Amino acid sequence: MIIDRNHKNNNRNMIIINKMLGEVEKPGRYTGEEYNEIKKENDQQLINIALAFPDLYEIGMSYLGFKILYDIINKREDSWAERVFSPALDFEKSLIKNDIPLFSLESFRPLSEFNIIGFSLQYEMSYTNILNILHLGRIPLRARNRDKENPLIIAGGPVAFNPEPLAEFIDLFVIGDGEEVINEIIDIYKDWYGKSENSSKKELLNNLVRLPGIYIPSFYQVNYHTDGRISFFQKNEKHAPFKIRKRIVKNLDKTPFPIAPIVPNIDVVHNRITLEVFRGCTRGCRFCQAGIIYRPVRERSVGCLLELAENSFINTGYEEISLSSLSSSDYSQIDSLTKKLVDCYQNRGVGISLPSLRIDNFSVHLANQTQRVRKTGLTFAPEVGTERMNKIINKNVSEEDLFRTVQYAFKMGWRRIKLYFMVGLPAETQEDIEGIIRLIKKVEMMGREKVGKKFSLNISINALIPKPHTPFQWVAQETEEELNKKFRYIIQKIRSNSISLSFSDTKLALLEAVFSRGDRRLGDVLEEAFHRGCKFDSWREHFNFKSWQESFQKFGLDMAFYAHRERGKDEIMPWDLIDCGVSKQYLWSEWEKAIQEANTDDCRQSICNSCGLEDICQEIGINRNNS
Amino acid sequence: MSYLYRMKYQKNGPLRFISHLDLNQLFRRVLLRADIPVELTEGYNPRIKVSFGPALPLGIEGWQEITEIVLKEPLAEEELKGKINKVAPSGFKILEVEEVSNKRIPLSKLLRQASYLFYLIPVDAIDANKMVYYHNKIEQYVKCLLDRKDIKIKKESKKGLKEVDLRPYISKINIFSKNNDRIIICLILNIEAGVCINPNPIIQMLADVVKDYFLIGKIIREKFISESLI
Repeated sequence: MIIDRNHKNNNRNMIIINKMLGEVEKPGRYTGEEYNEIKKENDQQLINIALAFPDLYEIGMSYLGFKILYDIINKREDSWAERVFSPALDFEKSLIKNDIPLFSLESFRPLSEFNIIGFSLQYEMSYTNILNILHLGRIPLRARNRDKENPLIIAGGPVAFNPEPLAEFIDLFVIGDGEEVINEIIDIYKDWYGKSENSSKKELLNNLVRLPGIYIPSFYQVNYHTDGRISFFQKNEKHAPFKIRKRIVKNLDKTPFPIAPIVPNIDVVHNRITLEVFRGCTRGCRFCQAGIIYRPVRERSVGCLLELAENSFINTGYEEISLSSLSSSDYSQIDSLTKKLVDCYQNRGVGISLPSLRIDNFSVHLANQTQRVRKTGLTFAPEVGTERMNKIINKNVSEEDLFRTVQYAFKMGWRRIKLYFMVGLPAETQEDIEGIIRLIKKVEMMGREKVGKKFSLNISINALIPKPHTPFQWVAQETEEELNKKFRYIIQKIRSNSISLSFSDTKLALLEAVFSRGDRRLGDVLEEAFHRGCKFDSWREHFNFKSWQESFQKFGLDMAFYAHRERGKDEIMPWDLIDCGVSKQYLWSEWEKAIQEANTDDCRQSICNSCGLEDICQEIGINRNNS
Repeated sequence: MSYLYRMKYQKNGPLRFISHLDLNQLFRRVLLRADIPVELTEGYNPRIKVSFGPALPLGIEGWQEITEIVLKEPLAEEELKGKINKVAPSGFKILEVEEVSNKRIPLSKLLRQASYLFYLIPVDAIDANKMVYYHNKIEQYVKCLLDRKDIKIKKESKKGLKEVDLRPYISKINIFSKNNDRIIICLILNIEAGVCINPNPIIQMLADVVKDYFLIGKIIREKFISESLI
């Protein structure tokens, strides 16, 4: 074996780490040893994999995908998955001061001693944290500076659908569902590792690239026009495909689900059983990336879900089961599932929650079933305030639907309502802004009338961030100035004690828009910003826009080029190598329909829209009538 | 009918770094996993009926902490202990279970004193003479400290800085140093009107006497002292 793997941080370091823990905030983030944590005897045979989440423990421990992979890898006898999170600033300082490399929670092993590190990519603004984890783990940042003695750095998750801004740093991206491909990767890695003395990292990558759903950025070269647009992609390796088709697990009932997830010792954001009732959504809201990249819709059966719920409860003792999906009330058996769960758990001190509800009376009825006694708030996302804009974004919810739903919610005893809106949408006019204000005022009036003094209304207004693989991928994001003008106008018009308003940070929204649709030239900017101290960018108190501006300037790149520029129909997008299943042609036709203010029906209630997934739908037995 | 059980437990290892609130949450989940027939409170948000002794400050190990739970059905003491320990996370362990009658004194009135132990570890190796010297130095300091009428410190509270007098809380301070590798100090604090003060300021004062030569090692809450539990 070439690499000498020390088993863990040595004794001296362990004494120091214990002392450090006594001096930082929330030391429970770094101790490990939670209930259901997996520890293995580390003889040299194990493939050591670190699952890395580029944010704090409390955030990372709330993501289902992270738990799924931990479970799948640790079921293998030949591998051990451990966890690592971004340390908070105080702990980071302490690591540097004491000369301790960033380590995993399970074995306190320094990151550089792992075989594979897998990053979870959930939001663009965690990119600097990825670099920081590598840096604190003493691993070279750039893929080309790492050889076979360094860990293989892989990444997956929704943000991997535009991997380009990270192309310089990540060896390999996994596109789509990870449940099957993670095993295939480990198999190939293990095979190579056994004979790695006579083999190179490139050989390993060449073996891995034959797997469907694998994107290896170093196997491609990107060429640009003088104006900065992409002219063409070129591949450097024979076996690298020109289309990387996302992975899709076909049957969720037969897909492994973590029924014994780790129960954190400290409180985390979502501290509960997350029961994934289905994956995918076909509503087709035109701004929504999740609605495209998680297609097609695959449901778990009620029987399977009840069994998963019971096992998860026995193994964790959690007091809440959350039915997770992109739109829980769209689950075909939601009424019977909810009723069965409530009947089964209400006398055992376990609550059921539905985090994503459609705007209709049925959803309120469901929520009422789960919250018979304690009525916390209800959240809805009307997104827009006019019929016209409803048609542009294809969210088929009318004003009347919202008013009727809210009315019903008040009748059933709710007092707190939260509404989400979006501004900066394509073809938005003053009238659309007035529409949002009108809607808010009407709901407030209804609340005051029906609930009275105890009524409270939470309004969250966010700027549109055009995302890759959506019909809005071609549109220009509004400038900060325009957005702030609209926000100020809304604030001016809405002054009420019962309403609390919150807006997205427009500078952060700008940067997010840049990286969402960015190309691989942004790698330099990212690294520069990191060296200038940027990290935890999505945390308002840490976000340093000036450093970002300076980093863009240094490399002569312009944020506006990425954020505020409308793309042409045939422009080559940085993510064009990634095939999410839905065709670019379909997305364009959706964009044209948006401009024509025309709706597209949900294919589950209507005919097939031919989005590009027809063959997959057929294969997994989803029957749609073709017109 | 409900049945009250008083339990002694350990909170150490990784759990010495979790707050009292987190411990509460953790214990609830342990009880649900163990399928213990715990009584739930009435009202909007049913909670399990459990009460804890005084909170343990972050970083301090608890060797014999105290909690009480109310069950809907009686359970043999050993069975209750076994069931809980089987599904408890690392760092939490029930040591003793005792069923108590319902007509009883609440925990806050029952516990009179808390006994703490902490280690002072020499930064560099020292010989026996030096050890005696430092030992005596601390002893003298303790003597002066206990002779004082008041020991006022400033404490940060929600309403800004507050002045607290530590003197009435200090019952005894004993110093041991049989080996040359550490000084062990035993600190017995009074629990006054249910208030069990944080020992850290006192520990810090004592450690400061030998500042540059010793570091504070482990801090332990060894046990509570009460009339019936002694």
